[in-house]
Amino acid sequence: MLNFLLALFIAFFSFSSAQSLTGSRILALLPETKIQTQYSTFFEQLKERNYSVAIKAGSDKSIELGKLGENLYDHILFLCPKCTKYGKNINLPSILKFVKNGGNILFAADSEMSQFNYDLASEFGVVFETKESAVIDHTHYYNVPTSNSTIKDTVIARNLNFNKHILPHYTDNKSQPEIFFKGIAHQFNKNSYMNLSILSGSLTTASVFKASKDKLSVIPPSSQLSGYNLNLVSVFQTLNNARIAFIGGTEMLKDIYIDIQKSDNIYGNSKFLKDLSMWTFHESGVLSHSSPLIYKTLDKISYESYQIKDSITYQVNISEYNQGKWTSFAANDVQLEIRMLDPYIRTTLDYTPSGDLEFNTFKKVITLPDKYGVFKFQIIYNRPGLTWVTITDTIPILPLRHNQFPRFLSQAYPYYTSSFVLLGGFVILSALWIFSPTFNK
Amino acid sequence: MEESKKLYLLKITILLLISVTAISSRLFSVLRYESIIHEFDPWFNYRTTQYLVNNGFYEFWNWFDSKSWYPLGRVVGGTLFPGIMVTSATIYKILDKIGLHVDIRDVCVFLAPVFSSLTAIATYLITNEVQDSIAGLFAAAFMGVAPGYISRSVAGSYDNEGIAIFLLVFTFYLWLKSVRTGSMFYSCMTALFYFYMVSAWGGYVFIINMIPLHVFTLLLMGRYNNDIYVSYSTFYVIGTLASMQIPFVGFQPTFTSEHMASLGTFGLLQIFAFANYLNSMIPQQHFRNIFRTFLMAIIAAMFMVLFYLTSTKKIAPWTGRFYSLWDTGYAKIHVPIIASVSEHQPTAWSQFFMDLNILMWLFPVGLYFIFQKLTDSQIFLILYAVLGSYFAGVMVRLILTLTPIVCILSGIGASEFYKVFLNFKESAPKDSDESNKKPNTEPQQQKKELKKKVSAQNIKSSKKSTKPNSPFDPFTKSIHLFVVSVVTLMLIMFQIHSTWVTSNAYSSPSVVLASYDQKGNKIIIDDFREAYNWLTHNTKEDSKIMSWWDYGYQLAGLANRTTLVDNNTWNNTHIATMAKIFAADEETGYEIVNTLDVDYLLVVYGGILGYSGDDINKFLWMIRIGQGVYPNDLREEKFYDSNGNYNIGDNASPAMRSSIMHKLTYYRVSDFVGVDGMDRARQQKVPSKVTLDYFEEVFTSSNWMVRLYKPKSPDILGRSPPKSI
Repeated sequence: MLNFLLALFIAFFSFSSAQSLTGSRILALLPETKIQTQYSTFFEQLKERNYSVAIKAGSDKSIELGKLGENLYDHILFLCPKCTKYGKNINLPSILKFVKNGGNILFAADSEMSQFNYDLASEFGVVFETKESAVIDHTHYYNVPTSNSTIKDTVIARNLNFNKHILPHYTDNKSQPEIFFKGIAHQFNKNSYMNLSILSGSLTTASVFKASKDKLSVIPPSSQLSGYNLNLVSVFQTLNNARIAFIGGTEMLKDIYIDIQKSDNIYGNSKFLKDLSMWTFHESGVLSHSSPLIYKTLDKISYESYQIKDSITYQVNISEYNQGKWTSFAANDVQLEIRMLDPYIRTTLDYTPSGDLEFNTFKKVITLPDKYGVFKFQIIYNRPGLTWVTITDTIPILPLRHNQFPRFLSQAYPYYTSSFVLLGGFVILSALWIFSPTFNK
Repeated sequence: MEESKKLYLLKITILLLISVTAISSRLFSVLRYESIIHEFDPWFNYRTTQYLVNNGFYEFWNWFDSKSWYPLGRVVGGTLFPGIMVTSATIYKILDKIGLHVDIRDVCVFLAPVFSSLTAIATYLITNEVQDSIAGLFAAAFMGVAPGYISRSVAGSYDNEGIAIFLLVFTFYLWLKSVRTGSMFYSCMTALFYFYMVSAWGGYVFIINMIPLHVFTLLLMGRYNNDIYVSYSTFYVIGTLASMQIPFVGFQPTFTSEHMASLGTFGLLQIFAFANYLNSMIPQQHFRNIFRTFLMAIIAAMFMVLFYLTSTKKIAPWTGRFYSLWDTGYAKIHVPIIASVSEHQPTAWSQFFMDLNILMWLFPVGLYFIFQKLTDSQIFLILYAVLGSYFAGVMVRLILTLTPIVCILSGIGASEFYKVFLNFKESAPKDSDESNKKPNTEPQQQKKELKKKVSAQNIKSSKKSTKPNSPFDPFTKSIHLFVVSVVTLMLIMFQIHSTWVTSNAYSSPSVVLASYDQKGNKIIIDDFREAYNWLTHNTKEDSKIMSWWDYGYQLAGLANRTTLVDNNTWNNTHIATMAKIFAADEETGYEIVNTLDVDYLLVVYGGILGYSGDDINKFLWMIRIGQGVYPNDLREEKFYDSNGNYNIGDNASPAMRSSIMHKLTYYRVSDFVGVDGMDRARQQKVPSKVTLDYFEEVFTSSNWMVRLYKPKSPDILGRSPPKSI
């Protein structure tokens, strides 16, 4: 319960500042501070959501990510792909430390990217395509009027991940997506459960090398980096729920790309960036749960341990932080596992819609296994787009006490009878022996 | 009248002195170290006693310990012999009631010495019952100091054996008394003490096989009488019903092979009694022949039934520990966990000499005298002597059950010997008992009182004994004198030897070690407690500590932390899993360690001090134990180097070098002792480079004996091996 109250408190607190659960301080790292005007729409979007955005040049010596073990910012926007280093002492470990402390990152790459940024991405298992490559599409492309390049590298990407926690405006409204993208592709280990592709190419999309600034190389694109395999935007969530978004190009964040498509019916760059940044900065898809309430169904009291075959009730409240407010979380796949070395019980918890409350109560009445030992009551709820949830309680299940066994067994009646017959016989024989003069001659 | 009173007083005094000696010679460990519980099992007994004292009997009875054998837990109340805990808790409560507020730890520490004095008295009683009081006093004196018994009953050795040997001897005493008198009262007492014994030690099986064997032998020898019938029937029925009240024993007396002999003898005795009754009713000449055939048929049928039931598993098959009593090689092949315990090894000859010394020669002498007049009781002693010697030869720790009979027979031997040679009257053999008693007790008493004055004592005793009423020829006299002096000297030597052995071999708590520097100053090595204290103060209360099972009880008792396996060894699979983890490479081991929620790993390393009982030396046993359960994962031969040697250095086999046990043990050792440094426990070079990826060192004790590690927490970025950020 304490967790839950804490979460509510944080939620309440955050309304007064930003909508993010983790904090409102953003550090935006640009090649130069003056090009911030190119991102004005995006920054405006963030400021509307009560973020304080500190915009600094990547080379600014004064940048510090943390002080005395605590983060100075809550989120970082890496918008400087060319930067060979950030600040004075910022290296990979200090960035990982920032992540470990719960900081979120929105990272934008580009065709020309420094080695440092490649290394940074690879820490999260994200491998960007080599320098001087570009994502092109000969079918779905857009000619930027100001550009005179002949390469069709402004791709109109429509292949979005249909995840309601990450892109709620896309999944809820079923509007036509049209994301304008320019940049390089990346890939990651498909078995990694931490990486998640958000925007990927279509069948006609490919990553090719550029021979010169506006001429393509003749080397054919690899199958690894074409079509659906080609990731344009992906996210990564660490085990401590820090979130990192990888965007293949800085262009799509800029005003000029956002302005291409401003229709409300189309799910364009603006909405996409809003959804993505909200998710990355912990405004969406964050789960919070109370500590579970486990009690004996019979007397509704929680004990430190239970006995075999007791009927107990397991109950936990879960709520979801969605687009800046706590809502009741609904799912039919929250599974409770009661295990000692091996699972003895696996069951999904039921919930009843709570209506106006900010949480749903997931509940189940369980008959404990006929096996004593120290059991773990565990919910491991890991779903893409949500924070990882692991709820573990270690509870011993005791055997019956000595006086809880049946006192008289029906199988033993012959034994009881025979003992009493023997006792009776002894008394009778003794009486005969003592009182009957003829018996003992 | 006056004379007998004097004798009585003398006997009491001597017994008192013997008791004092028995207690005080067991206090070396307390004087040298401190009042501390020793070794491994006592720590469990101590912990359960504390639980009993704090929570009361019913809680103790139903105690489910969720802090051991994680995650299986242990039904403590149902899997222990509660005798010792109940005994010390009772003593504690009584002392508390009468206003002596002592620590329960002190009760536990001093329980075994106190009971050993009772054992000496019980030995006196049993010898007195069989022979006479002189022999009894000798036997009691031997029992008080025999190292074979002291090894399990020094102060702090708070183990079942501490009280069980007293109960064993006393139960046998009551049994012999009840057989002799045919008294139902004494056989009830026998059954009651048998019940106490059952509640105290698994060795009660020895009693429940010895007594039927005695009865059976008496039957075979044609010594059946009503006394035997009454005493055995009473004893068996009450004793068995009582023993079934101990949850750990439960219904075992009805279906396990160990208890079948007593049941069979009980049945046989009923048939015998019935036949006897018939015989008295119909006195016929050929009855005896019919009866014999009938009896043979019954016995044959019983064996057949027993065989059938055993082979169809209706009667529980013998346990591995029992098999290893008959075939010393059995355990090594089939149950490595039994063979891995040093006290289950066959006994070496030197061990007999160390534990029994001169008694080894007096023992057959006593046996010879016992054969002189074969009473029922003396037949019992002979049976006990034979079985005791056999079992002691099979398992080191069964010297313990041999010691009482050795002391009894030696006492008889010594007393008979002195009777002959201390008598300087001509008509020695025909003397009455009474006149013999007084002079014969004297050397005994002197022996107790004048231990230090070795030379003076000889003169004194000879002086006293050279005042005979009618002296005979000087040559014989001097021979007598010579023999008596030599034997007395040997007995004194036995006393000195016993004290020496007690002080040097059996008084180490093994939790605390001692060593001596070049100047002879004592250095206390307290690494175990250092590490356990570290755990108490630096880890969460519900931390799970993984170690080899040897340290389980100590971890629970001293560090108060959850353990995965301990000295109870009831679940071989769980222990084999520990072995598998220790023998696995880091990646595999890390995975299992995480599924078992292990928070810390404890290994014991003796290479710096030269302590040979460390985990690397036990490692082969771990592999053997693990191999029985996981034959695909563990292979003993993989852990030998290319020459087939057990090597730990740079030439060790790849499996050895990649095993967790090796890595945890030798991690950073070469930094400490240098690349060419030696492992003093094995006289080999330490491995020069040991890397550790999945575990991190959290604590190493001052002499590097105990090393604690913890599995790295999972990498937040999902990297493997986990890296710390």
